[in-house]
Amino acid sequence: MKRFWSWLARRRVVVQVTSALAINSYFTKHITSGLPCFALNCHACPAAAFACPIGTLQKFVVLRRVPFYVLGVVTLGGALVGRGSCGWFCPFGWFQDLLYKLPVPKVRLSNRFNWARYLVVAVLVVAMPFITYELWFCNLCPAGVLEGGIPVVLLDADLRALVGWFYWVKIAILAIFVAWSGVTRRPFCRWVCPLGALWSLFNPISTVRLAVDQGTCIQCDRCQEVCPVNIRVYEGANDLNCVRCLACVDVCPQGSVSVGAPKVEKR
Amino acid sequence: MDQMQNRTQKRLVVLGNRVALVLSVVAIVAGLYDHHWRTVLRHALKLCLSCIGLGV
Repeated sequence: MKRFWSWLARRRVVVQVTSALAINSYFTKHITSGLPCFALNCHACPAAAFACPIGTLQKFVVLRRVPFYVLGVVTLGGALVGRGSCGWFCPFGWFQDLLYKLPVPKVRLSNRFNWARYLVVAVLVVAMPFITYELWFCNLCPAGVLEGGIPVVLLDADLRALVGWFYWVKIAILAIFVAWSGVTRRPFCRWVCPLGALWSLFNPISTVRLAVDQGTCIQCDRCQEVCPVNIRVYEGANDLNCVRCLACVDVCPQGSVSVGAPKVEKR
Repeated sequence: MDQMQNRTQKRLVVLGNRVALVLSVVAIVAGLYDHHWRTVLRHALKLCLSCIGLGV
């Protein structure tokens, strides 16, 4: 079984490309846009076939309605794979993975300020939209300008006339994350993404989980070297930051990291 | 003692997982019953210009 997970981990990019194409497959958008996808994908993208869970969540906050449906979909994703969708299905996560491959000096940052993403959920996704009736996170989202803002402006000459100062503010936010992703792995996922923040709460109880055999682990830190979110897997296999990319399963020389559902042995 | 603690912890994880799965299905059904699907569809298909930085 371990061989299968290693094989799958080496083909993660194939899943990421397929997912990005499926989420932005255009033709089914008039039916499937009623379904929030398992990724942060802006539905302003001309090809988007699904709704963005965070954009939708804010809309329900603005409408003063309890977002049962969206929270249900987000909880289902979290309960099944935790933050696995971030590592395997999110187009913006894949974009950051690609940028990190650029040959520029790398900086490894600790996870000390990762609580910032929970602040983003509380302030930009819930409190500010509730008070001001504006979708604050969408207004500042770099994924939105990449997937929605730029293509829409390029494709529609009428909308090009509406480009103002705020559009350039959004471009500047995107530029910051593009530059940061080149030197640090997945900065948006680690410090900002509200969807990742919601899913991270399910990492400790999700169906798909990691386990480390402490008896065979030699703490060589190879797992931390390849980890996109800088985790020492042997210190907490189901850490709140883990995006379940399975790179640690593939790289572990002892085969100590495994994937599986939680089981309790019967007496 | 350690083994018992381990077993209890595993049981809690399994219980938490099952509760989350059931709650998510219940929430989705409740949302569908309240026509949330249509609200999401309408919101997703309508292009929010200010959200992509246009017209400001």
